[in-house]
Amino acid sequence: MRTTLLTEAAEAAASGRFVVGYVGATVPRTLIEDTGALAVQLLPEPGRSSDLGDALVEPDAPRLVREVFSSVVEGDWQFLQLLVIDRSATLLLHYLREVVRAEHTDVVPPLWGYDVIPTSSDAVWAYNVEQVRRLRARLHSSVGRGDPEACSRGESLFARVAAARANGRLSGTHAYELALATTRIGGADEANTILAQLAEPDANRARLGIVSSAPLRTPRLHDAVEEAGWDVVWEDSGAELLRPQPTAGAPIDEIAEWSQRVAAPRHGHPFAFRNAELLALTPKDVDGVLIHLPLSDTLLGWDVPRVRALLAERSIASVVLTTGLDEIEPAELVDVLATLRG
Amino acid sequence: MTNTASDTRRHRELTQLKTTHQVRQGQKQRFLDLVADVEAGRRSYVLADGTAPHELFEAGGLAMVTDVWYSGVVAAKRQSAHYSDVLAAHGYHHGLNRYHALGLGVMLDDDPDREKPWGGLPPPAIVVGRGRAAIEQIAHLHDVPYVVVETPTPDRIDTAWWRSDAAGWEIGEGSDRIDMMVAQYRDVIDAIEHVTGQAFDLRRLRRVLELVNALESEFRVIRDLLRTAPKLPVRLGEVLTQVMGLQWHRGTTWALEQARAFRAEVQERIEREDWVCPHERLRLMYIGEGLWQQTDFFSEFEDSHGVVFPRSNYLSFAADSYRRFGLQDPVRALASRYATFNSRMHLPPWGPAWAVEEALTHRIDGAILLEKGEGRLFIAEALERAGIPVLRLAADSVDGRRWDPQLVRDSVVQFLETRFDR
Repeated sequence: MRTTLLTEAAEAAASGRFVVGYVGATVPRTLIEDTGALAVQLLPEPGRSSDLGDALVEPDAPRLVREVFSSVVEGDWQFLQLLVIDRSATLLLHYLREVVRAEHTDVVPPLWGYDVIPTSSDAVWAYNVEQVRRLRARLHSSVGRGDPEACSRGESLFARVAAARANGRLSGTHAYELALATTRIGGADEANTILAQLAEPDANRARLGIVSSAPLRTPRLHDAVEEAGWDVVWEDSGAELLRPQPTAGAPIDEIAEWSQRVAAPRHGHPFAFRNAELLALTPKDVDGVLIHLPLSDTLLGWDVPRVRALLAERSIASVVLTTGLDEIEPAELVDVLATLRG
Repeated sequence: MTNTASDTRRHRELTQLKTTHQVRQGQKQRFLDLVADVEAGRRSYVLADGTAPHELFEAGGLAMVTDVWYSGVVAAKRQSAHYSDVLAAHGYHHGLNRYHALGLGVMLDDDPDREKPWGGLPPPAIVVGRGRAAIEQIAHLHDVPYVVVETPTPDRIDTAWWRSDAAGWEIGEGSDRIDMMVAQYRDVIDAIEHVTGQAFDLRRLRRVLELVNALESEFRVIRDLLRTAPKLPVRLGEVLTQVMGLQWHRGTTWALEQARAFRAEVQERIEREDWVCPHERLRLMYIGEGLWQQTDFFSEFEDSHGVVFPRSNYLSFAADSYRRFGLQDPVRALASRYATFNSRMHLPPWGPAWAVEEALTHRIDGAILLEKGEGRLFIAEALERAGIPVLRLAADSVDGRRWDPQLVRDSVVQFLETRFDR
C-alpha cells in the first residue's frame, strides 16, 4: 500500500503537479488541496530503517518517528514541495530539521511545523488559529494556487479500489486498509462510501475493532487476523482519519476547530473522552475489540479498565495485547484473538 | 529490590558533605509535615509535573509536590519494581514512563501491610500537568480538577541559548509563544484562587522569582567551582541530591539558605584540597535522568579507574535555564522559562550544542548516556564528533527491573579500558 501511495505521489510530481506531504491527523488536507496540490500523508513503514536513523533516533522512539524519518532521509519524499508535520510528531520535525542544519543529508524537502494544541481551553485558541493562518500563508507561498482541474484526488487509486471490490475477493480487512489509503490521497467522503459498502459482512467471519496506539499495518499480521476468522472493520486512529475534513475554502476558525478536535482525543482525556466518542463512530455490530498497547509506545495513562468497561457496557468482548505488533508471531495473535471468541 | 543494611551504610559512608545530610533530612521533614497537614485538613497541595509553573503555587500559598521527585523517592527506596507491578495489575501498560507514574502506583496500592515511601502521597486538591500524563490518572482517581498546561513547539534555532535566555527571553522564545503560555497560566491562577479562596498576589510572585534567581545563581557559582577546581571536590550523587532537593523547593528561603551553605562547603573543600578521588584520572559526564535507585553508581569507579563525574544535567540546567531577569510582568517572565524548557536539555539542536559546551568547559574526557529518551542519540553523536567518547546504556533510571548492576558495571569497565589511553 505504501509503495502505491509513494508511486502515485511521485508520478504526480513528475507530471508537474505540486505535491505536499503531511504527517499527523490534525493537518487539514483541505488547506493543501485548496492550493491545487496533491496532499499525501506519510505513514510508518514496518521495519523501515536507515543508517542515519539507526545512529540518531533513539530505540524507544515511536514507530512514526523512526520509520518516517528513515524514509525521508533516504530521499523517498525528495520531490515534495513541502512536508507539514503536526504536533503529534514534533520529534520527527526536530530530528529532520537537525539533519538538514547539520548537513547530514540534502534530500529532505522543506519542512513546516503545524502546532495545533489539543486542549480545548480558550487560552490556546488564538495560538491555534494563528497556526492555521501561518500554514495557509506558507502553502500559498510554496505552492501558489494551482489549476483546480489538477486537483483530481487520486482517481486512479479509487479505480483500483473499485476493481478490487468488483472481483469479489476484497476482504473487510483489506478493504478497510484501502479505505484508509483513500482518505490520505482522496477524501473522507469517498472512504466512508467504501466502508459503507462493507455493510454486508460474511456471516462466518467476526468483526474486529482495534484500539491501538500504533496502527495494525503489517501484512503478515493482517493475514493472521484473517486466519483467526476476523475482519478488521474499525480502528481508532482510522476513525480520526475518517472525520470529515473542512470543506474547500472553509474559514480559518473552522479549520482550527477541526484540527483541535482531531487532536484532542490523543491528549487531554485519552480514554474517558476518546472512546466515548470513538464508540459513537464505531459500527454497532463489532464482535470484539483488540486493545493494543505495545511496549515501544510511551503514551501515558491509558486507563484500560475504563475502556474495557465502556466496551462491556455495549456487550463487546475485549482483549489486551502489550506485545509490539512487529514482534508478535502471527500464531500468537491467532491465540490472543481466540480468547475473544470465548 | 529494597535497600539492604549494607547499601544504606555504604551510602552514608559515601556522603561527604554535611549539607547533603541537611537537605535529605530537610526535604523529608517538609514532606512529612505536608502529609500530616493535608491529612489533618490544615493545608491543601498541588500535585504537578516537573514543567508546571511551581512558582505560581508557591506565590499562591499552595504546597506542591512534583510527580518525578516523588518517583525518585520511590526509586531511591528501591520499591519501583513493586509499584510497577501494581500499575500492571491495574491494567496500565508496561511502556508507561516510570519517572512520571510511580506515584500513581503508590496511590493505587491497597496492601495495608506495606509501608509506602515516606508514608505515601495524600490526595491532592488539584493536579497540573501536560495532556497524556500519568498524573492525569491521579486526578481521575481522586476526582479533582486536572489543569492542562501544554507548551508550544519551539521553532527558533538558537544553539547558544544558555548565554541569552535569562535576559533575552522575549526575543529568544517569541512573543506569540509566551502569550499562549501566559494565557494558560491564567487558568492555573484561577484554579489556585479557587482552592485557596484568596486573590493571587503578583508582588508575592515577583518576590518568589527573585528568590529563584538567587538560588539558581548559587548553582551557577557551584557549577563554576566544579568546572575550574583542579580536581572534583564533591561527588555527583551528592550534587544530584542537593540540587533536586532544593529545586523542588525553589522560591523558598529554606532552599536559598541551603544552597548558600552547599556552595560554602564546596568552596571549603576546594581550599582544603579535599578531593573526591585524589588520584583522579578521568572525568566523565552523565546524561540522563537521575539514577535515584543507584546514586552510588557515580563513585563505583573511583578506586579502580580514578573516574569522577563532575557534571550532570541537573546542576547545569539549574544554572543555565531557570533564571529570568526583567520581572515587571512576573507571569510573563515565568511563562518564558517554560515555553521551551525541556527541549533545551534534550532535543536537537539545543541539547547537543549545550552538551558539547558543557563537556568542554568541565574538561570532560568521556560520557555515559542513557540512550532511551528523546534526542539522546543526537547528543551522543555531537559529543563523539567533538572527540568525546560516549558509552550508551540501555537502562531505565527509575525502574529497578530494567537496571542490571553487573551488566552496567561490565559495560563501563569495558568502555574505560578500551576508549581511553590513560
